[in-house]
Amino acid sequence: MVKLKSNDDKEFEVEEAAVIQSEMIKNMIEDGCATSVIPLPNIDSKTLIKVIEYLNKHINMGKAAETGEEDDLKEFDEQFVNMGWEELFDVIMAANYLNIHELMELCCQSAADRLKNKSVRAVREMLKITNDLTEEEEQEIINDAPWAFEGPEIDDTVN
Amino acid sequence: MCLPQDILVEILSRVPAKSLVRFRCVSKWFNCLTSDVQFQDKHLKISCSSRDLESKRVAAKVGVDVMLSCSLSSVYNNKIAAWRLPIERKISSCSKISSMVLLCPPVNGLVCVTLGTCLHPFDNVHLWNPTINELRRLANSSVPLDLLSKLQQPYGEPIYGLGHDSASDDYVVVRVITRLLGYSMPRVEVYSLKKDSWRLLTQPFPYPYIWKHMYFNCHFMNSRFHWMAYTPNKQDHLLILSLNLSDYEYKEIPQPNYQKASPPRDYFINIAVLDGQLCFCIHYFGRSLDLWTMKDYGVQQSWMMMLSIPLHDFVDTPIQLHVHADFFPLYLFENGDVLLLQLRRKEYYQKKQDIMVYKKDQKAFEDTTTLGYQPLRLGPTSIYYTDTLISPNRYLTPTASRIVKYLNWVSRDSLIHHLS
Repeated sequence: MVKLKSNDDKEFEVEEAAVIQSEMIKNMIEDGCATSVIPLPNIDSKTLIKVIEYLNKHINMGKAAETGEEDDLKEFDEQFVNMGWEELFDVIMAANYLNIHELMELCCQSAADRLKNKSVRAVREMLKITNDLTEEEEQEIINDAPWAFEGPEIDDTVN
Repeated sequence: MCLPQDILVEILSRVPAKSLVRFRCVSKWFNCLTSDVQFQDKHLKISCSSRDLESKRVAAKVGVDVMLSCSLSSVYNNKIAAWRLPIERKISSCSKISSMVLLCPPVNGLVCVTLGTCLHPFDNVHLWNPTINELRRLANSSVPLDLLSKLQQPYGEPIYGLGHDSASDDYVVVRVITRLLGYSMPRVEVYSLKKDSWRLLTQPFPYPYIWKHMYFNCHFMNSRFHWMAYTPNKQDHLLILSLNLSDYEYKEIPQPNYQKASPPRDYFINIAVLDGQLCFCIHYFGRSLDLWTMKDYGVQQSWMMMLSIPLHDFVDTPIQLHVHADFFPLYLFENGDVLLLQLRRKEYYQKKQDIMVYKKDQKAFEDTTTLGYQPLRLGPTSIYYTDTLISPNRYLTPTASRIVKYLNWVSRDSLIHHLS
């Protein structure tokens, strides 16, 4: 068992088999730096619970493929990313910090899927980006590829 | 909260190209990112492995300079929503394009076309990415004009192919030129986008003739161009020939053990690339279209008949059909259904679509609204391509290296921040 500590001082015990899906922690264990509690100063307990939930479900990926539990895992993944936009960001940041490749991929794909049909205005709001283009520059971009700005799928709502 | 840019890059590389073109309007950073070559390649890698039908498209030429494009998901669901691709905006001098000819199957979202006419018949070749609407006129041919005197349509038309050399990260155009004055065998001229120049290969094309199908005749996969070639008096014996981009060596590719129907020449054969594999198509006139795929490249035993599409219900007038109609497979759906292009010279076939979906389970064609149809006077009019951000000008612009440096700096900075 490995002990992880969130930045709000909560400790969690995780099986080693689960936690080594994090490249960062795996390296720490291999280097013998994980004898006591591993502090994770960038991750709060709410996010860490989500990450541990993922790690536990994804122990031994190979085993799942053998026993035909792939569909089950796929369903879990679909349910897992069904979270708020800000919460998803927190998990992405944590997955990036802990270097959990599969989790990073899953969450980035989910973020990409939520962004893809959004209007320019909605993207700016969702990603908190200030527009630094002039009206002329914007118009030039639209004129070059007007088809990218048309279509019933384009969604102006922010979520 | 605001995401660090390296994470934003991870997310955006999974967003479809059409959306990213729109997101150029979000801010200067977004605009720069989509123009960055490294990001374009990262995005390409992810979108190539994706099965998302929104980013895969069929485009059809419906006028001299008008192309309409629609996604495979809209084709498959029979709700065609087509967009006009405004290539004319990219032509600097002339406001109208006098002619546009599609030359070969697109690769990585790049389409090879000739636009307008030039004094030298080879000097109007362009690479165009319709998704980002960027166009590049290729350098002039290395073949002197006086050697082209015998080049008359239709047999003298060069056969084009477009490929990507992953070893040197270069986009390569080949053209096989037949009946070049002073040469008995066809010659091969190769263009490198990186060098922006053509060179005539010293070794001639090893067979005098290339089989000309109604669709494209050169297909690229596995770092090799593929043609069907033959020698005179041996038209029944077509062979698949490949040209490897790494060493420019020709090699014959074994064919499947298909049934040679009698009487001879009662069928068309042709090659294609389907689902990343070399595909061998046999159209037994009025009976079936058989599609073979080669699972292990170059291994004869790995040819498998993937699908045999019955054409009995499809044919209206069985007389001389082969002269006027053929098919070409464009895309293999995950469930085994196939998107087919119907090529016609005359209205001999009952159905009027040019693109059709063959439903494997129902063993039937799904009616698909036509995008627009032109007789094949000017070569193929429809193409299948994937939306990418790959710019034909990728080696021209200073490769937005500033952004990359900045991103590296950001990620290193965030790493330092995490470690401290």
